[in-house]
Amino acid sequence: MVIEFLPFALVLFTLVGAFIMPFFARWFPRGCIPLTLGVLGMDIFMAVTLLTSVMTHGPTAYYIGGWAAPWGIEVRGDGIAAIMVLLIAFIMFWTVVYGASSIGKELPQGRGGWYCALLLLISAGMMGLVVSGDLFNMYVMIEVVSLSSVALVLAKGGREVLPAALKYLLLATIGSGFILFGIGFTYILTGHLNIGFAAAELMTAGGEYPYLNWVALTFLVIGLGVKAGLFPLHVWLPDAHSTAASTSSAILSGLVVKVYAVVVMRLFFQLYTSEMLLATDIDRILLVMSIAAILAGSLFALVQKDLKRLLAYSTVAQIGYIFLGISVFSIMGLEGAIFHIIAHALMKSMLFLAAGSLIFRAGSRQIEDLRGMGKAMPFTAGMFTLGAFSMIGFPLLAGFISKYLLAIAGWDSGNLLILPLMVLSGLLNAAYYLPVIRVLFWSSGEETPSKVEGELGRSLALGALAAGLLIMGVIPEAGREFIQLAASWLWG
Amino acid sequence: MEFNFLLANYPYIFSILLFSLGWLIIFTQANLIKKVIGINIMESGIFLFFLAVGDITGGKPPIYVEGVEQIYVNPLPSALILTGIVVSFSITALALSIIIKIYQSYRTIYMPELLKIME
Repeated sequence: MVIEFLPFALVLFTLVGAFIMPFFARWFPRGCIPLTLGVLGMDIFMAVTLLTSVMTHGPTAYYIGGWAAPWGIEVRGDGIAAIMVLLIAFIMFWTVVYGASSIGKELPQGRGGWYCALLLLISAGMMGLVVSGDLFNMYVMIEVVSLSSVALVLAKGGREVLPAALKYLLLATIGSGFILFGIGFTYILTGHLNIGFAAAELMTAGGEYPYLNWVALTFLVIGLGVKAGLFPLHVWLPDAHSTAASTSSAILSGLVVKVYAVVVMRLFFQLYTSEMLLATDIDRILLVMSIAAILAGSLFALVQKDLKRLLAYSTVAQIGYIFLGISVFSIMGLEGAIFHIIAHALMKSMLFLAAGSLIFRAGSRQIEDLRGMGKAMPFTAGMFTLGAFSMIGFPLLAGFISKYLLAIAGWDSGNLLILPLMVLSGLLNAAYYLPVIRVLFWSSGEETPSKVEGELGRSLALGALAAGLLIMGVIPEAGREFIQLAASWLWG
Repeated sequence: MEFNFLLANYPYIFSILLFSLGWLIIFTQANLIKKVIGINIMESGIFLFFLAVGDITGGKPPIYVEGVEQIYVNPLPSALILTGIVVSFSITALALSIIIKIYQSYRTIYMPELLKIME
């Protein structure tokens, strides 16, 4: 009874936290970060409860206001929702722990409280998006997430972020326009906005009006592709992710682009059926786009001299992996995609946070200015190295397991291209991460800076994310059971 | 038949035209304010589309009167569009405030000049 209510309660609770935060910011600014941490900590607790319960008792559904399915808004607590909610709460919590010391330095004076409100708002939006079982509710949550992520980019202040944020806003608006149009087409076709009812109706109506169905699918894929930063539609991503403050970058790169991939999964396998999609060749289109994303993202990253731009282009490549897993169209592929969502969220937020500390210390985003930082901040640089190794795909780290799962999935589905692609992209990742590590540790500057780590909170956050990365890599079986179950439920 | 079919569905055709025109404006115009106008044209296209979806020829506003049999238009798309209008309004407000900030710090709202200054 209570469990059904839990996914909705999570969103509502976080949203209430976001709405009372401005009052704290106005009259009690010191309380903002503890309050944010409290809300997110409570979210983690609720998400763990949800995950354990869902995994033992099966998926749940809750109808807001007690109105049953075709009319009411459905909130789903299935495997993928529970996993994503926990991931969002976990990454947000540790980002805020990290930010507790950096928010004051990186943001303009007095913006800390409002920034905390934004962080809670975007977490509520992302949680609402992954638990939503209603197409229009998804659209509203997509708008909440995209408007607050534009605001997160803007929060740093200064003139550099403005054009990047405007570009992000314009393209995100075009993306949500496409999504809304796609939802409209689906509504014409089925007469329902609830995903389950629309899917049942699509079984017959989709065959009767194939062209309308394809148009709806195309609009949804283009819209979500823009939002997720899938390769040819990624143009906003490097600017927005590299100019934002490091905590914002960690969230934008680690979580925001992923929730759209989760929406793609939900639409593909719960709204449409795989037979319907295979008839449209969308799997080949996505396969080509994701291979292009992996290669082009890596090649662009190779030529970057700015550390945060390098990380942002690396995100473009990693989104390719997730869509590669979706485009395989098998439970194994989905499993790999979900595993990579988790692994990449952990390692990319860690990389951005570590890079933020290094950049703040060095006072420059250029890679060559970071010389000798490995000696000045051994722990932070070490964590950066760990994240980079995971990105390259060293065994015992989460990045290796997700590459392995994707390669196996590709092999099983008879697509022999994916295994060599994984090896090639691992080499490309090594080609752009290893020079950074070399600069950090093996090339000293003119004078060696004194050895001062950042505040305890920063090291703690990096350590927690690294622990997650190691646990996922060393004993993947612990989480794989959940992920397998979530993938098979999603597959339906 | 084809022509009559198109004529009968003219709101849909106009909505697609407006939508395409909108994002074409966003991509091609150099003036940032015009890009925001493009956003609004695009969103209007979507709103028109949803209203056309909900409309039924000869339909009355969906207010139930006891004992009167009549055809009602579908109220759901209109309700959705109310939300859409609010979203579009907030996007416009945010975009315009960013443009004001851009003008204050770069002294231009033309994309080519902006790119030149940024280099």
